[in-house]
Amino acid sequence: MFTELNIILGFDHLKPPKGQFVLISDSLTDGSFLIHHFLSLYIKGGWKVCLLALAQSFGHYNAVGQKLGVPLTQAREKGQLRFIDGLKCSLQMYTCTPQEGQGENPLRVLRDKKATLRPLYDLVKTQVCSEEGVLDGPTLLLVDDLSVLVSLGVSAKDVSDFMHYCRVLMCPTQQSQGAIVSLVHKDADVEDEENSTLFRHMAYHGTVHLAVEGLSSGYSRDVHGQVTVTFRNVQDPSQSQTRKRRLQYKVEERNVSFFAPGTSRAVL
Amino acid sequence: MLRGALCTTYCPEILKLATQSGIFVYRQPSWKRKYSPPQVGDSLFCGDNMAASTGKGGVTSFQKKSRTKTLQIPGTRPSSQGNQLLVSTGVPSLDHIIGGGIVVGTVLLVEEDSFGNYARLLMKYFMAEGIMTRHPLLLSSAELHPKQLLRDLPAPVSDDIGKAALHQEDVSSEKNVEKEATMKIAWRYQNLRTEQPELGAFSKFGHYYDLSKTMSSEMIDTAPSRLFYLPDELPLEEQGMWNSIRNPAYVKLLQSIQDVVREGQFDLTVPQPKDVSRTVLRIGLHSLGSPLWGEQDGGTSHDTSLPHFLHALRAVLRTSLTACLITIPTHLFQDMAFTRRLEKLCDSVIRLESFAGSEKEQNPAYKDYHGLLYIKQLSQANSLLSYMPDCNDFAFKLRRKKFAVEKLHLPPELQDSQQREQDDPVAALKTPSTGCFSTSGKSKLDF
Repeated sequence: MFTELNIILGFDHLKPPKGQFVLISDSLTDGSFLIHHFLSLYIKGGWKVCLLALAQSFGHYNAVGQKLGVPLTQAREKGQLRFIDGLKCSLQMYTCTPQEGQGENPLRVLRDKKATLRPLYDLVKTQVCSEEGVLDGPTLLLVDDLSVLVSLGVSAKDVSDFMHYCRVLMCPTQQSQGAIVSLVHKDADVEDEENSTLFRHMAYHGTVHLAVEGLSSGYSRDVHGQVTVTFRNVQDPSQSQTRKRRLQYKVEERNVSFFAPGTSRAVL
Repeated sequence: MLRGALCTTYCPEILKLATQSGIFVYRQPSWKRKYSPPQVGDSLFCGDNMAASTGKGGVTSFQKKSRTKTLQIPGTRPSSQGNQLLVSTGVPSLDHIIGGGIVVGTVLLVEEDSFGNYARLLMKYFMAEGIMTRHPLLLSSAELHPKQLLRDLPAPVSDDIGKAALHQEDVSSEKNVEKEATMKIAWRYQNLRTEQPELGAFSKFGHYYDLSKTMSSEMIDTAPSRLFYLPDELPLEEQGMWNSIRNPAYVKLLQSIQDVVREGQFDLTVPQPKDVSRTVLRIGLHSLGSPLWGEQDGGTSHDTSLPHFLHALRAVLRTSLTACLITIPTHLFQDMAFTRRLEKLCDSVIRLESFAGSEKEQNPAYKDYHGLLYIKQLSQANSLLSYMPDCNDFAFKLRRKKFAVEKLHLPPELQDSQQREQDDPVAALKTPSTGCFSTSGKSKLDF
């Protein structure tokens, strides 16, 4: 959890905000440090978290979580963290023969062109909801990351349908109990149609958008990139629709420091 | 106090007790005491039975308390942050720029140069390093028979072999008396061993190889290896069949990787008995994604077999003691987006660009080098931060005994101005983006 970022976002670390759909997009760099930020923020805030991990294994999140002071194995045992292992499901889908059938695998869509991500949504629903089918207290759905689904062959339309259903489940309004954080890759130098379609759909849903990119002047060891935070104001039409803040950051071993552009410690 | 023990203390009461009970006390002169402050964790030297008190091949009995227990496997070393195991690529200068080596459990993707020569060479170095460190190998290829690739490995540079022989002698011989007698001044260090004889040259990280000689065939034959040659594993008729959305060639390859990981006990999820010595499996996938693997249309965004293979491979590698080097001829792919997706599914990515046959061969700034090397991505597995190199402009040159990767420096400008633009190597190196060295403009006022 990076305190400087919390201040900029206006998120209280003791009471993380509800009803937010946070979209993280990265271009030519890796924005996954923000995933770790939100994971540790919401776990420390006492929320229930459902982590849909498609890009990395549990060991990765655990190793980083330990550095940030959030023991994920304990959270998992207590039931505060629900982990959906996307890597394992994908491997199973890849190596199973048609005779065995796909069974209960939530990523059936990877083999069966006619299927959608409905089984995955059902799995998420069982993880976050109580028996009645409503949210069981404040819950966060963290998806890391959506572009992997696109790379694996799921169409952008299916992925955005899935995220739409999740949003209706978790945070249809700003007062609902849940929140969603998701990550999309959007590289500026290549023409990836599916990814850019997906990004546009997600940006439409999102209430906060964090765009991570490298510096326009090139590679630097002291400033690793910049984050542009855009707040979408859907409530009050009289005020301006969006509000933007730009920050530069540097990733360190246990923390990420954020600072206003041009005020890096290496420069001052 | 144990007999023959040496202990430092600053407490006057203990000193008093010691002198009273007849233990010899050596007091440091006061001038020395002033300049040697007490250190936390001072080591305790025990004169007799050194072997019992030392740790696993350690020099003193002082052992740093580390929170995570890292496995001690010959041929690997912990990363600078201390929490990950690294394996050498076989090229020490490449190890240095990617942050120490390949992280165990991850994939290093090498995007091949146009003729594939240097990528094949990197694969050979990787395999040769595996033989030198006694890591089992898994090599797959569709074009060249893997056996052919293994026959042709470069031999390690001769002084490494010499050292290996010397270490063998040390293990068998007793402590020679002549060595003890020579130390008159530093007599306290007499009882300490200088090297770790039981590990020898096989534990060294990163060797140099001589390309003019091939590795001895007995060394290659005794190394445990599993070869995957695509025409043998999958008959030609089946290769073209794309009735499902998966390429059967990649599926067969992944299944054989899984079998090797399971049989060789590299899987970390399966608990092993304590006395089984673990080692790292080196997987080399040469020229994956070439047309011989069935890659159609030269790779488009709609083709999902190779990305799915890489994703499933990541699932296998993350929970096992393996390190993987893949070379892919990405220059054959028409769609940059496809290449980008493959890169995102691998952990570390470097790209080779050789000068052979291109106009850069004549460029005087590049005359010492054989090609450029770009680091596109570095592994971020199990940590928040990937290794950040100083700069991103590297060039490589191939010598007989060394594959050297160096930072590309601009040559010094010896004249005030250049008469013709063609002669100016500085302007010729103008790169459009990144580069700490990019120059712009041709005006005479520029430095």
